[in-house]
Amino acid sequence: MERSVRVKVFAPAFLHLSALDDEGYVTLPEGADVQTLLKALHMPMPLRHIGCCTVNAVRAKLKDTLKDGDTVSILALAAGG
Amino acid sequence: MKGYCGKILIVNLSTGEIGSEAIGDDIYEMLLSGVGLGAYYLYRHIPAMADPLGPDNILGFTSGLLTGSGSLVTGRWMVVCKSPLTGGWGDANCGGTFSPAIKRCGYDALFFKGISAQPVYLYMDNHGASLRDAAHLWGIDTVESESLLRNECKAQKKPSVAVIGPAGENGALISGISNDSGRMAARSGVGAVMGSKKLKAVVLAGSRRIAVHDSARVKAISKAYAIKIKKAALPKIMKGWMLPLMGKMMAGSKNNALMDGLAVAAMNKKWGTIANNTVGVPNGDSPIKNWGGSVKDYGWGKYRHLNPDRILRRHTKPYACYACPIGCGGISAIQDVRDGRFKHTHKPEYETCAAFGGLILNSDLDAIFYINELLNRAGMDTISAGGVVAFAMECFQNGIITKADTAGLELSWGNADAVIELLRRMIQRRGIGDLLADGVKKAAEKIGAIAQPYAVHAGGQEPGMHDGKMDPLTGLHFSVEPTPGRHTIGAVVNYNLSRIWEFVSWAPKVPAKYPKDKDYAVNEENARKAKANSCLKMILDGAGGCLFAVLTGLNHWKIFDWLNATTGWDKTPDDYMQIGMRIQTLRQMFNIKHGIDPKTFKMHDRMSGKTPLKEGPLAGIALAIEPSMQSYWKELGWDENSGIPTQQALDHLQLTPLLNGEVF
Ligand code: SF4
Repeated sequence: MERSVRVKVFAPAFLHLSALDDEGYVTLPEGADVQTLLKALHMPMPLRHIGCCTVNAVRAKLKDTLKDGDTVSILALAAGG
Repeated sequence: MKGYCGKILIVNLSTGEIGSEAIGDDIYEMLLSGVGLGAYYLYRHIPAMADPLGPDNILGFTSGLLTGSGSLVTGRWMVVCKSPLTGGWGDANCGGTFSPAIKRCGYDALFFKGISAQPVYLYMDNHGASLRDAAHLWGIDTVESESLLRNECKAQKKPSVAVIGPAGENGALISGISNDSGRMAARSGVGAVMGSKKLKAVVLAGSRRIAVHDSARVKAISKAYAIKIKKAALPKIMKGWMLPLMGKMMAGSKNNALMDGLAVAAMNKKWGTIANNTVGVPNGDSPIKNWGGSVKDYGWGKYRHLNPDRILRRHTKPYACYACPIGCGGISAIQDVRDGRFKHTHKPEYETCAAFGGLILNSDLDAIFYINELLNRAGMDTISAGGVVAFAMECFQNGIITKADTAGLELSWGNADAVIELLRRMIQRRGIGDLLADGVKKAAEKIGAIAQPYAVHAGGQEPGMHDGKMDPLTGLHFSVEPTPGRHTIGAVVNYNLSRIWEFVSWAPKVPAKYPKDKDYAVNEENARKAKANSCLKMILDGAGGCLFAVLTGLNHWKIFDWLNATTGWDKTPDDYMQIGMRIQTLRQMFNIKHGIDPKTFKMHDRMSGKTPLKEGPLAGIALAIEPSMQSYWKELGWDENSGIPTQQALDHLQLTPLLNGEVF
């Protein structure tokens, strides 16, 4: 059976969230990188390349491999004034 | 050794007497400091039905309980009074440097009663307080006055100054109080109250230490937070032009999801609130054309001019409020803008950009910079002023206000030159400006019923620039807040980012993702979220906390731990929420005492979508606002039909002795 990793994802609602389970985890094949995750979330191309995501609070590159239990955070917007 | 001073200063401007009053530990335990202390004093001492601009009103400047403790993003000060805009409880909140300055003089709050015969200012340092003549400053703008006062009051330490400008002096009800050359405590008409008292400024130059219970613990929590905020950063290649893309996608999304608060901090560090300028138009957050339009009226060709990167081109230096590692502010150079009268301005906030952008269909960014400084110097609230201008433009469009009324001014949508001239007249109360300087409610009352449909307000206050139809909790708070129209109390997004359910036993947990429709339902769960928003905001305003810190998540910004470490208390988050609930209820009781019917604070029909918008991302949306208000009141233990706190709720919150005039 193919092995997988489960990562916790915080993402803005405008992304496709069908990949997230009810607890906010995404399951990916072992060896998956950040790029794979962003693709799974249908992140638009221009945004994918700007490096706007962190893994365990450290800025991540698209090629960074994800490990089981990682926390990935992708952009966030909140209104204020 | 508890982070607070245990003392308030009381100044009677009618007699010139200055005294102080000790405040017992039990008051702080029940109401914190800041807005809670303000509500405690004002409820007892302002007689029912007092004239907000008369001698019986009391103007208070309060510091946060955590301010100066070594905690972070807790340096905000609050102004409290009876509001001349709403006739009920008034408060306004501001960053800058004034909050620690209050405590460094040895006090938690300063209260001003009566009315001075001549313009005066209060000067205070470690040696005491005195009232000084301010006749030479009357008529001078906030920035200039602050600079003159700093020179005049040469102290070892640069004094902190809170000051009104000509708008407050002239009694414009939409005026505020400035510190740090244009950071405004803008809402509730607090500037008009200060002006009515002939109090030009408060100058503080104390240097006392603020002692806390467990300084090492406070510092450790601060260090952990500062490290996280330092790391939170957006890559340089992230540009403002990408933001509308997100806005459009948000508009199309049927879901809501949990986001990471530190990513919000990254946005705020890069742009500040202006990140919302070009997101808010396509996703429907920003009200357009006096709340009657949409992105169809103010499309990409217009709103792209408000791109936050364009604003940052004028950035000369960063600005942060006291003890804030986020530092969402900045100083912009504007010497080449329009007549070149102003050299610098604080980076305009989103609220100002939206109020003088989409709300009036203006896309002249330079005009917004200019207006920002014009109003900061005048001491006029940019949110309310934008709302008033939008109202006047719609009246003009419909022939209710004509060129004969405006002395030739063409108040057509987006006419920036006319807007600037109109604002000058409002500041000076000249001609049509006199009618508009007191906000849309008062102006519409004077014009007549024909203007009512365009007078967008909640309980007399022009609302913040966030459409409740996009975020229904924002809409609810607009209508149920004791200071109605306030955009900073709570929103669905605030609730979700705060992660409060991880700390407070009764706060509903939010799943990782859920359909957006759920946010619009009138039910106990959403009412409870709104209750949590209200209680948390009262804790913030008692502690001096900034809402943008809450957005980073309470799992990172540990306000409850800071409070315990500062005071030596051993309270749980539930205990603190009970304090928040007590403050909220006391503010509501202030309104009841002053004859306010809470139902009348319901936001304008246009804001709730009674006649829904026909176009744009919020087309067809109507909020069930009355049932939502009832549901909120019931959840707080207030009467669900009247919004009046029940005796049972008052007893439960131990407020009855205070309301009966007994000191507890
Ligand atoms: S986040 Fe911004 S508004 Fe809040 S305290 Fe910091 S600098 Fe001031």
